[in-house]
Amino acid sequence: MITRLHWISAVATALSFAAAADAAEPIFVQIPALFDPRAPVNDAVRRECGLDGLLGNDVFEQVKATFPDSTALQKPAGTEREKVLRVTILSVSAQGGGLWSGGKSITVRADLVQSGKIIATTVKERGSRGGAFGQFRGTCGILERVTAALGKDIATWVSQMLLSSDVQQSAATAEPQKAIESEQAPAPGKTD
Amino acid sequence: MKAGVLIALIFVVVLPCNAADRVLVQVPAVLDPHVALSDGVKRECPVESLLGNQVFRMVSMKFPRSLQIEKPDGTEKESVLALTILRIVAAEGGYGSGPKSLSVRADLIQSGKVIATMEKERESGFGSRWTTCALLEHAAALIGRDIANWLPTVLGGQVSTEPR
Repeated sequence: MITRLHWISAVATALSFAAAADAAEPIFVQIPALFDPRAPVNDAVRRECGLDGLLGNDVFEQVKATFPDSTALQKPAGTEREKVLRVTILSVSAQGGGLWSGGKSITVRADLVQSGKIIATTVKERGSRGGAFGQFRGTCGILERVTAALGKDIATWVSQMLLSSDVQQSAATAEPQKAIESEQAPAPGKTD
Repeated sequence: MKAGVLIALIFVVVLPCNAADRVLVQVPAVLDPHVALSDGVKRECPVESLLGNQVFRMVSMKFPRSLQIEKPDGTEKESVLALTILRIVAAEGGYGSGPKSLSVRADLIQSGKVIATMEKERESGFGSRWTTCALLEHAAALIGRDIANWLPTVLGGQVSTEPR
């Protein structure tokens, strides 16, 4: 019995080290983030707020805090053997006018890609009313708070994924996702 | 020694459970050919993507290793969640033109066979959301939550069909 428990402990320890090894891996973070070609985003917000750069940098900053060897990458080739974190803005709910036009929210998808395959994906949504001094913030200022929160969310998710030793199984069964056509796609206008 | 055994048990028991925590969610959802939708909303609001992503967001909270799949072909080893939009009520004009709603069918597919189906209709709330597209996204999130709550009951062994 004791021998069996020793074996189980040894296996568990080995698994723990394997997970820790994953955490030490460098991660390439794509900056700026991408806009989904059909993301519904107010024209003025897209033009003035620079959300793709803000979000990319917020995510990178948070990921680097956990994975210090991480580096920024502008245009991944898609064949990197290291893990590449790609963040895509799916929708932005934000009218001009700061807090007076209501709260703002952003939905994003984060993909962990390795050797061209998506090994993990998440979709995160965050909203803000601007915080304690929200009435004094503009629309972009409120959205900056949202991207900062999303950066933390995504970094936490990356940690969870990479520290779970079975994430590698995802690579074997991951479906290649639809290609991001272009981050410069024409912006859809607001619905109303 | 006791701590080592505890850690070992966590790894031995928890990891195999995690391995099953995956659903392939179809993103974007499919628009039923009979769905009527104004050209303006169709052009400016990608309802299929919004719904697919919101459902995925909610489902992956219950099944953290879920992945998106664009076009299931019936050969997937994992469970596939196919999404079909049956009805959209969304006049242009945002909050001022009345409530927006979505009706969706979710099919859970294993080995190419539909093992459970759920239909759900949800109306958007309001508040800070004003545009038609944002309201539809809110309705999509509500449907996503419904589906995420329904999936474990089916994947837990009770294959059932929930009426609308």
